Amino acid sequence: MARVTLDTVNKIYPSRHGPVHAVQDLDITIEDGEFVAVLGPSGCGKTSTLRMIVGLETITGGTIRFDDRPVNELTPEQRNVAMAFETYALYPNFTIAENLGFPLEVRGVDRKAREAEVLRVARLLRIEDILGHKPAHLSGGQQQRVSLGRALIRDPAVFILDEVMSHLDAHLKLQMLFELKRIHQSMGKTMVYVTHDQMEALALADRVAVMSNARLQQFGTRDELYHAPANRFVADFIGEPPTNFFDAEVTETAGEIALAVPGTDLAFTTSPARVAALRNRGGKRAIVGIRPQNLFITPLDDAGSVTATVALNEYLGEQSILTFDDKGVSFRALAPPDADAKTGATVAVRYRPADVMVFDTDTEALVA
Amino acid sequence: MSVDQLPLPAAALDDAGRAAAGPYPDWFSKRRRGRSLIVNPLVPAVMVGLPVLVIIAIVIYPTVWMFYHAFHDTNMMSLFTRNWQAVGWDNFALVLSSDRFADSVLHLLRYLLFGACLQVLLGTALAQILYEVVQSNALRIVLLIVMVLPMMLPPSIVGVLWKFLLQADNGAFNHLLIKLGMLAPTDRIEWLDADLALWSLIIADVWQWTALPLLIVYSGRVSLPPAIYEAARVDGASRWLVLRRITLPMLKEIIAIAFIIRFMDAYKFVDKVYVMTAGGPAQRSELPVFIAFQKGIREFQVGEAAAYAIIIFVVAAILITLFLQYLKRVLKAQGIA
Ligand SMILES: Nc1ncnc2c1ncn2[C@@H]1O[C@H](COP(=O)(O)OP(=O)(O)OP(=O)(O)O)[C@@H](O)[C@H]1O
Ligand SMILES: [Mg+2]
Repeated sequence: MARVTLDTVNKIYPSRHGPVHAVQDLDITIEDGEFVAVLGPSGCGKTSTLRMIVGLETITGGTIRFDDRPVNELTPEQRNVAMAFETYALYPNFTIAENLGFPLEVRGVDRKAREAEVLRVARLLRIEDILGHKPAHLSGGQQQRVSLGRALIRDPAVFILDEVMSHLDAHLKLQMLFELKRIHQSMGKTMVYVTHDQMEALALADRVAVMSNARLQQFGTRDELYHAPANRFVADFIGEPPTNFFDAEVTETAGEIALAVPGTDLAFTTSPARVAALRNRGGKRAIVGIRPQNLFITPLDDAGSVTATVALNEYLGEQSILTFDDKGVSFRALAPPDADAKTGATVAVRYRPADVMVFDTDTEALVA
Repeated sequence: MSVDQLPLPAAALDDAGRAAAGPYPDWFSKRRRGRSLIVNPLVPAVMVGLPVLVIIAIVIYPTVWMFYHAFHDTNMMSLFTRNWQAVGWDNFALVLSSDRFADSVLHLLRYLLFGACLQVLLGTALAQILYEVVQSNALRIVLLIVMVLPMMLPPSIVGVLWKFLLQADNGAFNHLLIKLGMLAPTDRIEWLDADLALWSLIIADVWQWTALPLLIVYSGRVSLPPAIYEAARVDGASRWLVLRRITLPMLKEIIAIAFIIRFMDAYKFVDKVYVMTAGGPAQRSELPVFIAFQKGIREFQVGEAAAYAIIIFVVAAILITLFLQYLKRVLKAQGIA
């Protein structure tokens, strides 16, 4: 069991085309027993971060601590971490059972106990029918579960799981997410889970660290990420479909601050707290962000709404995604499938001022 | 743009501006079509016929000749007078029942066991050390080159070299032992004499050929995926366990192939024997191939030499068949064939 602290951690890879700064000034504290997801687009430095925590990669700058002990110089074995690799890294000459049992074999667990454990983990991951096979003969999803199982069979201080569900079908993924959550709850071990799928991250994690371009963008609970994204990137990355953004002008009429989108009829008001923050900040321009989930179609002539023309109505079964077009500015809203919004119709769209997020035009940080 | 509108490469246009067949040199594009060399039907016949004749002359005819004389009492005299008698399987019986042959087979086994096996074992160990222990890439390359150098020398030269080194009276090897105090200054080790002769051959051969299995196993080790070694580190496996459970099992086919290659070479080992000991003393370092050579080329006991050759050939054919079957299984297991 361990609390994992990353203190201004940096990773710079030397390469033929010059140094690659893969992780930059990362500050994260993962509490003991916490389930943390690291979420970010491909190439943002997630795997590099994990490899430094595990001890497979030297730390270029900064300190990693397990509880209060710096582990920079310790081997993976001394750190006592279990890792499931993004590339599976299964032992090709072993059967699946041997692969799963290898961490126990290393620890001198006798054959009987080992087999029982292997069977337990295999059942959990639904791979008990392929225990006698060699890895080369398995599908990507099967290999991935074996790799996950080889980590879960251990009893380490920290579990490090690198994109362990990326090759599973949606149905299986849901089952595995559930199993993983249950394992975490019953073992109470610190888990770090890397993914670029926000659904996985939000479903599993107590807190999510969002990374982009080698930097931490925000580290918080799902609510914090959703309702108070630290910057435009997080607002864009979290939530599906992505947030609508508008370049807006800050206008003040009769003491009321509004955010008008130039060249259109669109104008938004925001919550009193944000209005105050906007006043504080000053400046003429801002970026308005509003999630498609927070836009509702209402009858025309409804006060506090904006009007827009439906350019596209995508029917997705439980919901429709409406794409509006207002004089060249397009944005999207979610609507019930029976909403009366044919392509070309003009409708009123309503929002709650509290859902209108405002970002600084230059820094793209949340104005709050 | 359609295909024939694509610009042609510059060389595709000859002097007259006509498109030639392709970017060929001038003389080729300008050769007269239809009136080239291939106009005479004799040309293909000669071009195929000559090599066939050569093969008949240097492979098929001698082989047939050998099989023929294996069943005759051909020797220098009868070869000269061209009157040899059929003797059935006598030559084979003679060879198989002779102590000389039996001894040479024992020598060969000893040579294979301690020569070829030692080379493969040493080569594997060195490859592992080179990969795991030596950290600097530059040093690795230098070491590889140094170890591979002996392989570039002709085996007969290596034989001469080691014959010098192992001279009893003023050879460098004895001198070194004396300097190191491992040998009394008045003592001599007769490296090329009596029981030691075969061992000296083995030493010289190991010196020359250990680098081959080393190279083969090293390249095999390099191609193992690094990720599984990271997984093993995270799993906490010791170096020894990793070597025993992962590296060696994954390299075993490659090691076997290195052994097969060394085995095939060792089987026809004759050059160093010839140069260093000439099979002696008293035939104590003879190998079957060397006897065949002695009998045939030196003593002109052609019938007996042919029997030797055929026995050697048959055993080789059986072994090669087994090896090929093993290879096929390996390749199949790895999904290559
Ligand atoms: N060994 C290396 N040498 C040089 N550059 C590297 C090395 N490993 C990673 N990088 C670079 O560091 C950056 C971050 O890589 P990393 O593997 O951490 O990304 P990631 O967030 O895990 O991406 P993905 O989601 O695709 O797995 C990338 O730009 C990558 O090219
Ligand atoms: Mg990665």
